[in-house]
Amino acid sequence: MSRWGTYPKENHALADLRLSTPARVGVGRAGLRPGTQSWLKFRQDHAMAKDAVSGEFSESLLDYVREQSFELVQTQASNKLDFIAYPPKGKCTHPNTLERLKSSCASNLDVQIVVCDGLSSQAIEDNLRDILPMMIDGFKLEGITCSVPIVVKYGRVAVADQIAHALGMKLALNLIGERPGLSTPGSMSAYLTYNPSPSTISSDRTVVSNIHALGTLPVEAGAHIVQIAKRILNLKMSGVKLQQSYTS
Amino acid sequence: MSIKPILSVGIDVGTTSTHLTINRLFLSNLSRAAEPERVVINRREKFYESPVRLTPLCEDGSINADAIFSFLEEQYQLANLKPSDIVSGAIIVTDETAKIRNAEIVAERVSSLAGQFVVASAGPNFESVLAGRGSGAADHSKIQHKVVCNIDIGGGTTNIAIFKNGLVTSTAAIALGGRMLCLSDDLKVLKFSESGRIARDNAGLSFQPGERISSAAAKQIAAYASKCMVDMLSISDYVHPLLVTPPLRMDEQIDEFWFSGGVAEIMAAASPIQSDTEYGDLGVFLARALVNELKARRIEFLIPEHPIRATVLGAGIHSLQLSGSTVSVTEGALPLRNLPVLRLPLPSSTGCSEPPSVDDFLSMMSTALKNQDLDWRLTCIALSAPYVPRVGCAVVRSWAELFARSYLQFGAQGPLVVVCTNDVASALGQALRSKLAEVPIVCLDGIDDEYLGDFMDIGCPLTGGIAIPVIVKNLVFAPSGVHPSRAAWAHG
Repeated sequence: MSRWGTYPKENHALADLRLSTPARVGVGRAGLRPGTQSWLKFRQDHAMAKDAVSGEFSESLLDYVREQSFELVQTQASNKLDFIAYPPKGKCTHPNTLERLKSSCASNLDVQIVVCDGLSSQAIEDNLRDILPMMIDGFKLEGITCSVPIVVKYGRVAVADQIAHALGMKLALNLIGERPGLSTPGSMSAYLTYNPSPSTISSDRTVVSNIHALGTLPVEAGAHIVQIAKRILNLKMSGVKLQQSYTS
Repeated sequence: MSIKPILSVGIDVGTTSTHLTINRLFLSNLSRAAEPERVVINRREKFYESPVRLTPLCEDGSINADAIFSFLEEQYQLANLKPSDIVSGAIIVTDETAKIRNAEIVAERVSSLAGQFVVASAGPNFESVLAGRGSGAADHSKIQHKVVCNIDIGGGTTNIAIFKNGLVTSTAAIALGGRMLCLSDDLKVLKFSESGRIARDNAGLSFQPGERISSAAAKQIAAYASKCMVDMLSISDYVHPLLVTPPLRMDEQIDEFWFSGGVAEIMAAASPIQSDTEYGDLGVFLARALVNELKARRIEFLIPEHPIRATVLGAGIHSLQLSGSTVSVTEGALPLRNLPVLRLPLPSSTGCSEPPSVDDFLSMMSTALKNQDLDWRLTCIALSAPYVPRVGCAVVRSWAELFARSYLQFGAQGPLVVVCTNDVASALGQALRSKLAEVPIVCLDGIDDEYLGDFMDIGCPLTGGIAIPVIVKNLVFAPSGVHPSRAAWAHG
């Protein structure tokens, strides 16, 4: 600690507060700026967030995808920069890709699982291998049919609706990397749309967010999502309507 | 999302006094958008409070069940309530009272008055916790980030609980209280308890029931009791023959001492004392001696508002816990009542990484069942599993394998009940269901059962299935097959 540093007095309350949040609280300052340690930590977290956005799926994840014989496709974005600069490109795949999927994948089942890098390929790396087996087991247990998951490079939320619609699935389920923050670069969301179609809008989607090791655990989220999917299929509704069904 | 408030009752049938409080509990959902629901009790409002009555006794020393019953019935009428309006709560029959012959009958009769999900319960550790929560000490420790020790002194026992950050770190109870000696107005000893006898011997006195004692002698006895209590608060693991629980463990410096219970009411001198024997016992002497002892040792203390109501408030409000919303429950498996809780000597998840081997787990299970005299073929058991960590898929599956194997190995019947602390119940429950297709599964999380007791009631899910109410408790009058004293002692 340097002689210019100003640090808060340590006590129980501050220690409890620090434990309660990943936010930068009680880090002190040096003059008008943060201390060197906390500044470096901030830079590090920021760099990790940027890496999560610009990073591609790793070889190890792609190996897993091949090993499990999942489908791997790409949206209309030709590379990461294209994807970030032209957001609409991430919402759909090429018509040929769809045709290929139609010929190689099962159709007219209950659920289509889609996995997208979104804004954090890191989130998929971190969580997919825990959440997916839970969901596949759970669907089997509940008698809900689903086909092989489709992994999408440069994908956004809506791409799952397009694919599930093309395959005639009742429910689109998109596991997608969230826009990273400064406390975790690897948080994932799951979006569920009943009866997805080109006219699907955001309020039609049910979302479970904050899935990562320090948020909702991926295994727990997996089992929870199965229950939500079951409810959606029973009530034939998702999104805001589903939310309202809990209170009525 | 708005959730309907629920009514909760606390009934205290104490050694000295009997009273009830009815509270309205407001539930709210803490989760942010798109997160699984997290329901908590966020506000409580007093709905009705009865006057405090002396516990009516019959000539032969047993409790006058009819008198208590009609008193409570009358209070319900005054509150304009039917027992069926009450959702949750607890009847506290204190340990000393429970020793009275017909206590069980009283508890049973009273519980019929107390609604759908009320338990007749007590047990010294549980009472300590409830008193500390009811007095406000627990909340205070959380808000002020302090270590707060609550001492509830009633007629029969003194119940101590230490709270840090709102959580219990240690509890104990000692059989010292106002009713050590029952005194008439002219200081005639009407009767004395075991603790009264020990205090008499230690004070070097030798009176017998029926004799009059001097005011100095009463003071001497009270001084002895206060000294024991304050010693207990100053020395970790203080041992005394009158302890009814394992000794009080003190891991940390205590920042504040709070006193509640009937004797604390006198310590605070909230109501002017009319005579030294106003309550027909040693209470007034004890309160004074305690204040002197604390002053002499320079221990500062605090007495909350309405100290005598601490236990009943705790019973009415804090006995109920709500599970996390991501749980796994086979339809129709609930409610379950009076499930014995089985705890295994595994470190809680913070210190543990790998699950044990199947053989180790089965032998641990077998020992624990034997120790608690439980036969899984005959009784449904709640497995307390704070050791299941927040982990990945493979480890959750191995825990599920361990629980499923034990269920089969020990020939269990009925639902498999697993209660976790960490938020993993949905995953664990699903894994269990895939292993035991035919067995109803009840897998809950977010329940902290430590220190609370050895039996569990699990209620039906609240509206919309967003949370499941759970009460962890002790039974003074254990269901057949379980030895009551062991039940009270099992968790130390």
